[in-house]
Amino acid sequence: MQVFLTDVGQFTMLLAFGLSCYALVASLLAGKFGHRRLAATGERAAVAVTALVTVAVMSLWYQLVTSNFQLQYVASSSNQAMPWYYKVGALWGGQEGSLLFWCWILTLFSMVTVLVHRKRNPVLMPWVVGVVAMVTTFFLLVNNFVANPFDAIGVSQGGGAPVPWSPPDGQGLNPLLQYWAMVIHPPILYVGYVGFTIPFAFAIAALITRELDEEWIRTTRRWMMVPWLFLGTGILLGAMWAYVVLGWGGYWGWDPVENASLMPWLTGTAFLHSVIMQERKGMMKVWNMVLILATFLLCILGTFLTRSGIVSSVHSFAQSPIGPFFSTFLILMTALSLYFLFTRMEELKSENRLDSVVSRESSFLFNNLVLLATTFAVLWGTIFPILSEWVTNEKRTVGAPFFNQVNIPIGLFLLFLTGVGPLLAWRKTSLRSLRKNFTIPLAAGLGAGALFVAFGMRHFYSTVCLILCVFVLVTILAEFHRGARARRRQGQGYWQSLWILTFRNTRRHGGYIVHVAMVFLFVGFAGAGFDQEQQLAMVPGDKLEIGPYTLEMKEVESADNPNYSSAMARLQVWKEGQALSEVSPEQRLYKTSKQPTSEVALHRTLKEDLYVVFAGPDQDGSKFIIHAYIKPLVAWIWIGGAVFILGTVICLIPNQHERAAQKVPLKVEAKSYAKV
Amino acid sequence: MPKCRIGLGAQTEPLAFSFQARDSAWVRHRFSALILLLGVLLPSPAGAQIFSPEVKKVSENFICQCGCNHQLSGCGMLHCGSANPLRSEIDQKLQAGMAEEQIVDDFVTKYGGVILSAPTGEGFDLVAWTLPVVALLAGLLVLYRVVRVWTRRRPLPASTPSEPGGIPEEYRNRMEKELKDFD
Repeated sequence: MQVFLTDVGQFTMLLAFGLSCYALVASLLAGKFGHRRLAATGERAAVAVTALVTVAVMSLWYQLVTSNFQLQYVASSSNQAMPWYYKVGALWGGQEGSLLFWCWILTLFSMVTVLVHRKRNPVLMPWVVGVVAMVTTFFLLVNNFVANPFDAIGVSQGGGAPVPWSPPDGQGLNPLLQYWAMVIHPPILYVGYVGFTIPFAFAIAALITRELDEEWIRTTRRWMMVPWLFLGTGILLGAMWAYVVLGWGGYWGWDPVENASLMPWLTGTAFLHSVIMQERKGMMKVWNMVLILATFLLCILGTFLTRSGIVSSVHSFAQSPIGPFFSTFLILMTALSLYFLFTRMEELKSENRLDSVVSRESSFLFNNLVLLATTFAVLWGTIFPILSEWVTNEKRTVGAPFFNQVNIPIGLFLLFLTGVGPLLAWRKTSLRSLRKNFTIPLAAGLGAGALFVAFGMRHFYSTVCLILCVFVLVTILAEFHRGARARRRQGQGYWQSLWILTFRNTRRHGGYIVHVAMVFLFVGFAGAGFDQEQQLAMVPGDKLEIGPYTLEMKEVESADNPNYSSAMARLQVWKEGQALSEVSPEQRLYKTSKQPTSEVALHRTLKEDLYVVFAGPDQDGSKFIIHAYIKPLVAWIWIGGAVFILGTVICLIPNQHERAAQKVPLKVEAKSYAKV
Repeated sequence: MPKCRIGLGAQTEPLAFSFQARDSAWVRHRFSALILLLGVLLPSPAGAQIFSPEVKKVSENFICQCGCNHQLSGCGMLHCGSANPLRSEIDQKLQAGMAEEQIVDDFVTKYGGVILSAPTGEGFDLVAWTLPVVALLAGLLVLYRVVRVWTRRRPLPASTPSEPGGIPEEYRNRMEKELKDFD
C-alpha cells in the first residue's frame, strides 16, 4: 500500500504539473482572444489540479502516519515514537513537504476563486486563472523536479545503481516544532502568504484588461482581508510558540523568518487603509496597485530569503538549495508587475484632491507612509547583512537592538495615528470639531501619564506607549459611545444600540475593534520595559525571590517515554505569603535527534507572567539551576490577538446596506468579453 | 509516561527518579547520585551556569553564534555551545577588570564584526542606521509636496442629474445614503 500510494503521489504531482501548464496557457490564450470555451477548460484544469494535489498531499500524509522511512522526507522529518498529530504536522515540518502543502493551499484558493468569480467577473477571470496557474506551475515545478517529497532513499552498492533502502527509524521532527501551536501555526501562516496570490492575480488581470473600475478593487479588498487575517494570526501564533518553547522569555526576536512574515502584513495593512480612499474618493489608484503587487512580491521575497539559506535564521530546518528558482521567479514576477503597472499608468491616474491638510484623507496618507517606512526598515535590516558582505566583504549581523531602535519610534507614531485618524472628518476638520473630539482622549492620556510617572514608571518608551494606548483606547470607546448614545435617543437600549451600530457598518466598527486589538498588543509590548529576571542554583527546599513572588523547590523528578527523556522541577509559587500554584518547568532530551529542549512553566495573570525555566544541574553537579522571569502585561498580546481576529471577522461580514444592495441588483451593461 | 521516585516507596524503573524536599537524610545522601543520573539523562557538557547582571549587560552587545539570531544575553537554548562559553569569557574579562568597551573591542578583534548585535556607527555600517531615517524623511518630503499639490487643486464642478451622462436620481440618492452610512 505504501509503495502504491508513493507512486500515486508521484504521478498525481506530475499530472498536476502538466494540467497546471495547460491551465496557464489556455487561460492566457482565452483572455487574449476572448475564447469562452477555452477559458472554461482552463478553469476546469485549475480545479482538476486542486484534486490532484489533494491526492498527493493525502498520499504523503499516509506515508508520514504509517512511517514509510523509505521516503527521504518521511525519514528526515518523523520517527516512530512521535504522536500521530506531530506526524500529521510533519507535512509542513520540512522543506519538500511544506512546499507541497503551500502548493495545496494555493490550489484550494484557486478553486474557490474559480467557483466564486467565474460568472461574476467573466472579463477578468481568464487572466486571474492564468496568473494563479503561473504561480501554481512554479511551485509544482519545484516540487516535482527540485524538492520532491516522494524521493526514495537509495543506497549504491559496489558502484551499481542505487537500490531502495529503508532506515529502521526516522530522524524525527525538530523537537522545537513538537508543540501544539506548531501544528496550527504554519498552516495558518501559509494561508496568509498564499492567499495574497489572489489579489495579486486580480490586480494583474485588471491591469492587463484595463478594467480598472470599482469592481476589481471591491473584489480584491475582501480577498486581501482574508489572508491578512490569517497572516496576522499566524504571526501571533509564532510569537506564542517562541515565548513558550524557545525559553528565552521573548516573543519576537526579529529573526529573518519573522521579518519575512511581518513585511507583507504591513503592506497589506497599508492597502486596507488606502483602499478606503479609492472606494470613497477615487484617489490613490496607482498607490493601491503598488501595495497589492508589493504584498505578493514580499511574500515571495520572504520565502526566498528564508528558504535559500542566504540569511541566517533560527528556522534553518527549512533550508535547501532552491534559492535560484525562487530568485528567478521573484525577478520574473517583479518584471511582470512593473511592466503592466507602467504601461497602464494613464488609466490609473485619478483626480486626487484634498480640501484640507487636517482631514481623514491626510491621516490615511500619513498612515501609509509610516507603515511603508516600517516595512522598509524591516526589509533593510533583514537584507543588510547580505549587502554588507557584498560591499565590505565582511559579515555583519543585524539583531534586535537595530530593529528596536529604528522601529519603536515609528511604531509609536503609528499608534498615535491610530487614535487621531478616526477623529478627523472627511474633507475638512474644523477647530471646533478637533476640540470636541480630542479634549477627553487627550486629557485621559495625559492624566494616565501623570499617574504612571507618579507611581514610579521611568522607562521612556514603555511610558509613552502606555500613554498613547490610553489615548487611542479612549478615542475608540468615545466613538462607540457617541454612536450608541445617538441611537439610544431613538428608544433603543445602550448595549442593543452598540450591537446595531457595529453591524450596521461592520467595516468601520470592525476596523475600530482591530484598532482596540492593536492597543492591547502595544500594552503587551510596553510591558517588556519592566521585565525582571532572577537565577538561582537550588536544591529542594531552597527558595528563590523575584518581585512579589517566592518560588520554593519541592522536588525534581524524571520520566521517560519512547520519544524523549525528561527531568522536571516542581516549584511552589508564593505571593506575599500566600500559596498560589505549582509550576513544573521541564527539560527534555529527544532520543532520536539528541536535542535538548526546555518546557517553560508559566503562572499567568493579566498583570504579569511568572516565567520559569529549568536549566538543569549546575557545573559541579550539586544543584539545579532555575531561571525565573517576571514578564509584565504579556497576556495582553494574546488577548489583542483574539480581539484582532474578532474585529477582522466583523469587517468581513457584509454591512446591512451592502446585503440590501445585493438583493436589488443594479442593471449593468453587458461587457465585451475580450478587451485586449 | 512511566515515572518513579527514589526513596518514597514508589515503584522503580530505569532512568526515572525523583527527589523531594521533605525526604530524609537517606534520600539526601542520594542527591548527588540523582544529579549524576540527570547528567546522563540530559547531557550537559559544561553544566548550566549563572551569570551576573554585569555579564548580561555586556553580552547584549553581541549575537549568539549558534544560529538562533538572539542577543547573547537572550539565547535560551539549553547547553548552547556558543552562548555559555562566550558568557564565561565575558565573565572572566570582567573579573580581570576590563571595561565594557574594551571587551567589545576585544571580541570584535577575536571574532570579527559578525559578533556584534547591531551595526556600528562607522563606515558602511552607518548606512544601515541612516537609510531608514533618510527614507522616512524623503517619504515625508514627498508627502508634503503631494498634499500641497492636492490641496491647491480646485474641486471639480458637481454634475447634476439633468446633465447628459449624469448619475440618475435613484442611484444618486442611494449613493448619498451609502456614503452617509459609510462615514
